[in-house]
Parts: sequence; structure tokens; C-alpha cells
Amino acid sequence: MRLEVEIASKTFKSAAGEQHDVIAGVAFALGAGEVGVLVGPSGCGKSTMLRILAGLDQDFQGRISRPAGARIGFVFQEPRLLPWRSVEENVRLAAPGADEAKLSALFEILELKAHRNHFPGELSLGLARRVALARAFAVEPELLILDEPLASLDAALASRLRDEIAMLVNGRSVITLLVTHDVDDAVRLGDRVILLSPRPARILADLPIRTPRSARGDAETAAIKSDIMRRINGCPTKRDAS
Amino acid sequence: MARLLSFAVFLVTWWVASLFAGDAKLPPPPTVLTAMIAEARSGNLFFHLGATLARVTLAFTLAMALGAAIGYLMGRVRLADRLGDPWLILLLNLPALVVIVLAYIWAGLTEVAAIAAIAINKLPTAVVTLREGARALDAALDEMATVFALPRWSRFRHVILPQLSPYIAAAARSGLSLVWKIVLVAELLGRPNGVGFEIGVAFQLFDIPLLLAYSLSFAAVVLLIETLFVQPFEARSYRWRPRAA
Repeated sequence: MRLEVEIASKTFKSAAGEQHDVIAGVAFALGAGEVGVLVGPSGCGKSTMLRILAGLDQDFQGRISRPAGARIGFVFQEPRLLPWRSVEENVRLAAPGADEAKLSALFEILELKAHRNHFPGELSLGLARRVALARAFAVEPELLILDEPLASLDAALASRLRDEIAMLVNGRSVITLLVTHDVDDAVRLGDRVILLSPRPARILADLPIRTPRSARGDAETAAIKSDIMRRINGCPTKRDAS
Repeated sequence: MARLLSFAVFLVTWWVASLFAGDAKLPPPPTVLTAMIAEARSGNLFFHLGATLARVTLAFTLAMALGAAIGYLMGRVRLADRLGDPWLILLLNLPALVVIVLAYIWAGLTEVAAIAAIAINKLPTAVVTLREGARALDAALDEMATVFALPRWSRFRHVILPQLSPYIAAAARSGLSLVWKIVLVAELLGRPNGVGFEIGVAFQLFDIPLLLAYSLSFAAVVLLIETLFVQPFEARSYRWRPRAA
């Protein structure tokens, strides 16, 4: 099971009729159990790339090969929950085959047990993100796509949620693709960090991290981080301020 | 409580007005009530109310179903919108009377003609409202449903229908009031029964208590349907919203 991506170019027309290049040439491959992290500045075309990978956008030059009929779990930047259905119904609708034991385990890890019967409008952004994560994991995805799942959360909450994601990804043979503009998240969660240039996106570097996630010490994380920072010096990254 | 009070104010105003206007023009409430009871005893009242109600139900259901389907299509498919738009504008602005008279001329003074004419009058408003609803459907939720491969039925029921339900409620509310008004005209012009027919008879005999007895019974039925069906439906479809209004 492998995900192979070759996007030669992707352009879109603005309302004024001008052509904009979003992606200028991106190619990489990911295997099962591997977490690839796409890092790039805001607006560099990462979300567009994810939409292409998930098959939502077919208007591009290139080729995507993913396992035929692969189940996809997608965590969008905004949670995209159905506001008129409860937390539990939101998860069950996406994963009709999921049994009670699995759902309880998932709700337990993501600390959603008390919120099963709440409507999304009653949840904070952090909780709504967790519901979106629960939904993506409940479908037992073969391809898991996470689009900035930690953006605009406060630092403490972001780090808790990051640990929860790591816990859920570990021990599953799923191809995971995470998009972030935060180098810290990338180094802590990824097995491979793919650095992207500002728009139109090209690959600047494709850096494997060989030490397993749980064994990475602070010193090693800092070293990888500074290496990445040096490589992307032309395009500064920082945690989303909003 | 507030509703009862408002009803009492209505009765008192009516009674006082009847003292000034005189029995011949505006009979007081007891006279009308007597006429109402007499009609109810003979069974006429229920027969005519039932006939009108049956026409309303049929025409309303037909117009809502067709209107929702056409409106949804026009909201989602550009070509359908382009093709349907001139017809829609024509139908929206065609006077009810013209449709009813033409239907009776072409299809005879039949039940089918009456119901079709009423439905055609209501159809365009349902189309316009549902078209707006279909245009406002959230593309982000659509993508979510595609990625998670929601089956067709589940997608319709849980993603699309809840988004359309305020528009359906609005179309039902405005449509119902339109149908109530038009059904009486259609009955007056070409049906041998129904509230509209009875009001026509009362008009020819200048029997004002009878006229008021039928009008008010009819209004009572409308109020009853509004509180028993339309409002609970609206309340149910909004229960997920954080309480504001």
C-alpha cells in the first residue's frame, strides 16, 4: 500500500480571469505506517494539494496513485461537522460500520466521552477539532489526511492534541499526511518532513527522520528543527498568530 | 394566556362594532355562533370544510413536491436555471384568477382542473424559495460527504435536507397561506361544494351570519393546522441551534 504523488502543475483562474500557478511541481511517495509532513508558508498551496490527493479536485496536471477504493479519513482545517447532528451521530454517519467498543475507545482517548450528545455548536474549537479527529479515525482509514489540525489552538491544548494524534497514529498501518506551517509540530509528529516553497509550491527538501517518534529527545528535536529552519530561511515559518 | 387575551379583545371589538354598524351589516357573535351551530348540526359545515381541506392538502402536497424538486434542480444545475427562469417569472406574475379560469375552460369544471389550478399558483413561490436554498448549500460539507464516501441516501438525509429545511419551512408557511386564499376562489368559480362555494351562496342571499360562520370556521381550521403541524415542524428542525430567538 503506497501513496504516490506527482503533481506537475495546478493553476486556477481568479474571478477576474487571471491565471494563478498554485503548484509548480511536487512529487513524493509515502508507505503504510509512515507519517509525511508537508511544511510550507501560509498560502503556498498545501490545502490545494490535499484536496487533489483526496480526489476532491481533479483539474490538475499530473498523477496520483493511491490504493484502489482506499478509505480516506480527512481532518479539514475547519472541523466541518454537521451542526444539526450530535457529536456521536457525526462520527457514526461517516463510519457506519464502527462498533461501540471502538468508538468508546476513540472518545476516551480524545476526551470526548462527556460530549457524545452535544451538538457541534455547543463545543469549543478544540473540542470540535477532536470530533473531526474522532470521525477521521473511526472510518479506519488507509489514507489519513490532516490539514493543520492544531492551528489556532493555544499552546498547551495544541501540545495535548499533538500527543493524542501521535498515540492514534502509532500502531496503525495507515498512510498519514499532515500539513502544517509549524516546524515544531512537523518534527514531533513526522517520519518525513517535506519542505515546500512559497507559491507556486515546489519541494525544497525531503528529509527523513530515522529515530522513532517516541524515542526522540529534546536535543535531537532541536537539532532537526534548526536544520529545517536553515533550509527554509528564505521563507520564514512561525506558529499561526490568529 | 396572551393568545386567549388577544382572542377576547377580538370578540369584544367585534361585538362593539356590531352595535354601531347594526345587525344587518355586522351581526354580533351570538348570531354567527347560532348559524355556525345550525350548520354543524346539519353536517353541512363539516362536509364543506372537509372538501376544502382535501383540496388544500392535495394541491399543497403536489405543489410543494414538484416545486422542491424543480427548485433544487435549478439551484444546483446552471442550465436548468437558465431554461426554467423565464417560465418561473411568467408563472410568478400570472394572476391566480387567470390560471383558474383557463383551467376550468380547458379541463372543464372538474376536480382535477381545480386542484391543478391551485397547485400551479403555489408552485413558483416554492421553486423560488427552494432554489435559493439549493444555492446556499455549503460546499465544505459537500466535500466532507464526498471524502468520507457517505452513501447517497445518508448524504441527502443528513447533509442536504437539514440545510434545506428552513427554506422548506418558509415555502410551506407562505405557500399554505397562498393556497388557503386561492382555494376559495377556485371553489366559488367552479365547484359544487367547499367553503368557497358556501360563501358564494351566502353572498347571493346576502346571508351575512352564514358568510361569517363559514369564514370563521375556516380561519379556525387554518389556525389549528398552523399550531399543530407547521410550528412543531419548525421547532424540530431548529432544535440544534443555540437558543437565540
